[in-house]
Amino acid sequence: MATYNKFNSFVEALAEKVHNLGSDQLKVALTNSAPSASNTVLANITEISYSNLSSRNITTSTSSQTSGTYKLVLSDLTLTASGSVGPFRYIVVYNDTASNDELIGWYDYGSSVTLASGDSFLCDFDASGGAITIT
Amino acid sequence: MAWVAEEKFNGYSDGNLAGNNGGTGWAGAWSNNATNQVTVQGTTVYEGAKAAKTNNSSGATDYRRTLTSAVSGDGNVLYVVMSRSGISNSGDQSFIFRNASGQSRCAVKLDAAQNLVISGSTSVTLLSNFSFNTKYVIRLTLNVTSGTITGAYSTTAFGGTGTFSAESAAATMSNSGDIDRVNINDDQETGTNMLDYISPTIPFSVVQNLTLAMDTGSFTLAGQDASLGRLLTLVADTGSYVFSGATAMFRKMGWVPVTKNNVTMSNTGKNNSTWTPVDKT
Repeated sequence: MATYNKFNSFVEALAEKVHNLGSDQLKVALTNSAPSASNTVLANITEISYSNLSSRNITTSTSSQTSGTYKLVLSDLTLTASGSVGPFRYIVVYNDTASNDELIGWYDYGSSVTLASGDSFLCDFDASGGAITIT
Repeated sequence: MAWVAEEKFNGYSDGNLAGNNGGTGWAGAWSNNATNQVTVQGTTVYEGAKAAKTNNSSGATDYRRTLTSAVSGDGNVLYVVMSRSGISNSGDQSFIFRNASGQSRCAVKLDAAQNLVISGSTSVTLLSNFSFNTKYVIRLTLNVTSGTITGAYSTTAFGGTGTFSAESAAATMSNSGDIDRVNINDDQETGTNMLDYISPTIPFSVVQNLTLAMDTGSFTLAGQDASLGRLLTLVADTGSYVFSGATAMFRKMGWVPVTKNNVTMSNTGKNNSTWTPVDKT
């Protein structure tokens, strides 16, 4: 399982109404350069070309709290290539609705990947534990 | 010995398959073991110019070809492409693997029940209700030592990009011994049942289906002890007021005994006030 890596700015952004995780459009960005915890916005990420890639929009399943623990559950996202895509290694989740596309978190696939036409890449979010919890 | 033989039928003339000796890994030419012919044709093909039409409306067909080296051991993978145009006479279309004694060890079939199956002493269905005229690329794994066969299928065109179905459960082979030959066997059927591309090489590119399982990101808000305003305390000392009686002057007014001639006056007042005698009236 790929570890969730935090962008330091996320917690402040969350506290200052930058993110509405229940309604904002979250999205994945792909990069072959390791993100830094000090990155704050999408402009800080060196993205690959998406010209041969299907939609990167993430569907939010639930955004709710139970007994004081908040959980954001995201639907799995399958990225399908219609031509060459990549190489990329890192998957960044960001808020496409926020003013500056503020960053949320990132994952490391472990090695660089190049997709050929017809290849798919499944972002398998944890449906039980959630993508993000806040206690 | 692993499976190495390859037959694509491309260099043959149309007509009887028997006597054709192309491809690689074969000890000799195709031979006809039945009355009716398996024919080479260029109308229904999977790859290249030609393929074999395995059925004959006049009767059952049975063609054989012997391998240069018998296939032994486990994990022998080969690909064969088959299609069927219909089921007219309740017959099976089969590609059979036999031992040196000619006994069947296992087979792959587009059978009369319209199932794609692998079989030996037991059968496993790879696909139920296969589609007519669809060319099925069948991947077979022959485990000769273990005596089993597994399979998977795809409908990907030659040179394309696709995936196989999940590997099937194992069917148990019949009899014993290394695989020495193959048989093309088809019952009396109308239409065109095709067999093409016998090869150890996959005929298309397999797509990557990658998965990244993403961990949960946890954020914890640690509540800090909060001071709920300043609690001011005024310890009020006791205000002491000492009441001390002030010197009070009391003066009594009244008659005092007066002696006529002698006046004795005594001071009755605290402040030594002087009495002034007065005549008695």
